[in-house]
Amino acid sequence: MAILRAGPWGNLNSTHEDPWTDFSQFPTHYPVNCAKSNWPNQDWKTVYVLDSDPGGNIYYGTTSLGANVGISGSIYPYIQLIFCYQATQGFDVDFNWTITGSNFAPTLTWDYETIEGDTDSFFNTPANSGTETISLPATTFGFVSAYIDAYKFDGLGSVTIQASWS
Amino acid sequence: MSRVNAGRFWHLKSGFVILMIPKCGSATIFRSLIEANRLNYNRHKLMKICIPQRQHENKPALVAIRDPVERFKSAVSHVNRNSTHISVDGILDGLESGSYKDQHFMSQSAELSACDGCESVKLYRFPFDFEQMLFDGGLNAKIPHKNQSISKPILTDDQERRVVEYYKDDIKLFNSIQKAGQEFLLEST
Repeated sequence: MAILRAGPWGNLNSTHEDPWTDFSQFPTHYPVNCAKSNWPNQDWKTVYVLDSDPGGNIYYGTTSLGANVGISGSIYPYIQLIFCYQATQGFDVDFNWTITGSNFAPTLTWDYETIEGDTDSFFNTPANSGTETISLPATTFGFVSAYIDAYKFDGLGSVTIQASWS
Repeated sequence: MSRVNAGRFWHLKSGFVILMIPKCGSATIFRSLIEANRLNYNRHKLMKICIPQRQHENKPALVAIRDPVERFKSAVSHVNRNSTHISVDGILDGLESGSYKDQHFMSQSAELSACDGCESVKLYRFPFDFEQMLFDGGLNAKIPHKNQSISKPILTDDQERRVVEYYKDDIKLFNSIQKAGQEFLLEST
């Protein structure tokens, strides 16, 4: 399947966008990757959202394949990683997470949608660390999001979450 | 018994909230919510909308309650899914001593206390009344179940006795549900 290149950033409603630059606010379009590879002129990237706690600090930015991002919080911190992609064949991507602390309850979700209409999603109350493999379909344009949080149920101390794609 | 300070609630377009209790259909609720909202929200907001929130905002609550022994067996299977192995006796020892705290084993009646302040609370037996709860909440009740436990443990008579004793409040609560959507008054716990 031949695919015209989208991007360099985009979303399902607009597949050609310039890179997001104002990371003081939630990005509404995302880097468009070539499956798990770098484009000749654009390295693989994912947007991250790091929220320390409800009403607390929230950080947006980008990171690369295999690189961890982390956040700590005392109530309900979470990490969300988002990217778009094009792929001539289906491929697997791993969402990795580690949570350290005590007395917390994690939830993990992922979701993808392609411009051709393929969708899937997943919800789990996972272990404190692990890897969730997501099988993504071939597409001319796809959107992928994964989310991990840690709900502190004793209100004491803090919990730290780290997450990455690989 | 472990108590939570506050629960986590899915907020539905119908105005209800669903209290999240692990091992009571959470994955199906999430998938139903995400499919219901897929066309209505920008993609970057969809995930957050479908994640349970800490506040119930005094909305009427829908709550699925599961037979505590079945839930315990499902939870044992869940925490042993990967390379870790925690024995049934090890879990029971930890629960009884208060040293093992895992969301899958939290008391359902304790979680239910998080609905304090909700306009109303309606109870449903899981899995028997689960589709009715989703229907009452305005969600698609025919979402396939993806997280089904593969191999639940068979409890010895002594283990089952300990589970029944540990979850005696939950058993009373589960047995009190005579019909789907039965109103629950928190003062009665």
